[in-house]
Amino acid sequence: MSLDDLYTDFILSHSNSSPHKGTLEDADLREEARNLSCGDELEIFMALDDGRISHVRFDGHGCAISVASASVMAQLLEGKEILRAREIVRSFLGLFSDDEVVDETLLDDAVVLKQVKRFPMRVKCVTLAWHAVEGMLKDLE
Amino acid sequence: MPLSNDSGVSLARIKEDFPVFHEYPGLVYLDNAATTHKPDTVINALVSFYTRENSNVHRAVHRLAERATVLFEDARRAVADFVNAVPEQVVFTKGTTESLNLLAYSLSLSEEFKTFIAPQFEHHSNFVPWQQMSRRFGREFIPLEINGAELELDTLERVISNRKNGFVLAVSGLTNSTGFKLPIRQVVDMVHKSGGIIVIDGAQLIPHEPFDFEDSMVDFLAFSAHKMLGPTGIGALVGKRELLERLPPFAFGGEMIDRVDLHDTTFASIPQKFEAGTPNIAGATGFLAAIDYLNGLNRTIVAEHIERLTSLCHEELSSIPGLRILSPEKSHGIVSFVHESVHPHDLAEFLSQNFDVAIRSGHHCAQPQMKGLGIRSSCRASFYIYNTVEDVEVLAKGIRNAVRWFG
Repeated sequence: MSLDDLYTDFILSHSNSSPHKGTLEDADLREEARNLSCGDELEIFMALDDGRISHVRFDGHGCAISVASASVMAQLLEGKEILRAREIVRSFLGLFSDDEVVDETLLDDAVVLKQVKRFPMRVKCVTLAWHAVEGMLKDLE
Repeated sequence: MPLSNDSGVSLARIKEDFPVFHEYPGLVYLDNAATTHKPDTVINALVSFYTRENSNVHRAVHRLAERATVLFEDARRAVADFVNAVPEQVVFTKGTTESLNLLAYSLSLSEEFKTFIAPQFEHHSNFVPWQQMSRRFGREFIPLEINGAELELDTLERVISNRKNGFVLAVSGLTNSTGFKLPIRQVVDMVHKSGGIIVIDGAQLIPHEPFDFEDSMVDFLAFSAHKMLGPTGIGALVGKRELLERLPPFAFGGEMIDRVDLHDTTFASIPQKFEAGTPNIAGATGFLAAIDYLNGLNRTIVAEHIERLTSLCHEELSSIPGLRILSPEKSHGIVSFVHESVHPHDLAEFLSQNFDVAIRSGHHCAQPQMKGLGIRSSCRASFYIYNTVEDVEVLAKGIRNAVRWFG
């Protein structure tokens, strides 16, 4: 297991420059994702349009893994129906749990992040933004 | 500089006494402020206790119980001697955190002290107990302002002068997040002049330099075995006798009682009054072995060795572009830093995977201190007796590599 398995070009390119980094002034939903044990804080913004997620942005400070994962998530969720988005988020989080059967086809590119499972200390980084969105979507009709 | 202890053994060969370095010969362990590794004598003490003495203490009269009790009390004497106190003043606890919680609770109950003061750079374990007990018992809590990583004596003076009621200042002798060393003697004088008492969190300080509790005039001192070569789960609270005697107990159960009636109980005298339940007896024997090991070294030379590594680390790291050192210039044993383009977690991961260097990344259980420095997290390299100049060089080389790799 080498460092290249963790910091892939995929992760580094998403963390160095993400088109989804930033804020949304007219967000319908916003949520803070905080990793209290390490001080990372991301804020997730989401705009909705007729039962779909139209825009996702994230802002704040995090390590390469948590930022890249937030970026991949934003890319994947934009344009999805809320119900579908819930399934996607559940599937992604399922990648890091031993007893869940995951439909990886829902996840597109995001599936490559499952390599982080081999670095147990970093699972909380890769799931940070996703847990926040799980909470945001839970309360929607 | 001659790096040798009293028996002439070179400090450079000290790693040989630590099985972990046989297991991982390339390990550069710089997370000593979190916990230190254990020499074989400490590991063997635990095995030996469970093999030869295992029994409960202070109760049965059989042979094993007697041996366990003698060992446990030997450990108490060794801890007392180590900081120049008497055994009755040494309460065994789970560690510094429990020692400080015990104090915050018992001092709240005593009604003598109306105000608790703790600098904002404190470890959460010397901050949250005072903050929370203040809320529960209606005491005043003052999170003392800091300047960067340092406590300025003028600030302290402003806050503690002209207080009408008794107060407690709880402060680290050496901060875990940056290695700021408190001018203890001056602070003790100031606190006592103003009618307060002082609690020293010695978790980082006691492993690093000789400390004379009696001479220091400090009222309470807390520290942990595991940060000074001993096992986890055991530590000490050392207190002035009259204060310990005055304080109500923290937890109730076996060992801490005197006579139990249906509706009231009288308590044992100190230190047992504060030691409810079966203590960590094996841990105490490990603590004893750790103290024996440290006593076998010339502690002045050890302190100088660590000082030298710390200043070398300051020097090496400050020459890395984009790196900001957060520790005060004269920090002891600890160098905290951030790099402008590499997140602390990523840097720590890189150092571990590529150079087998173990440093801490995160907020170091000191969120208010991180806020004070204007950051969310940082990296921390911390040294102990087995670290070498090469360790510092590998760290610096690793950081330079990481900056290139992530850049």
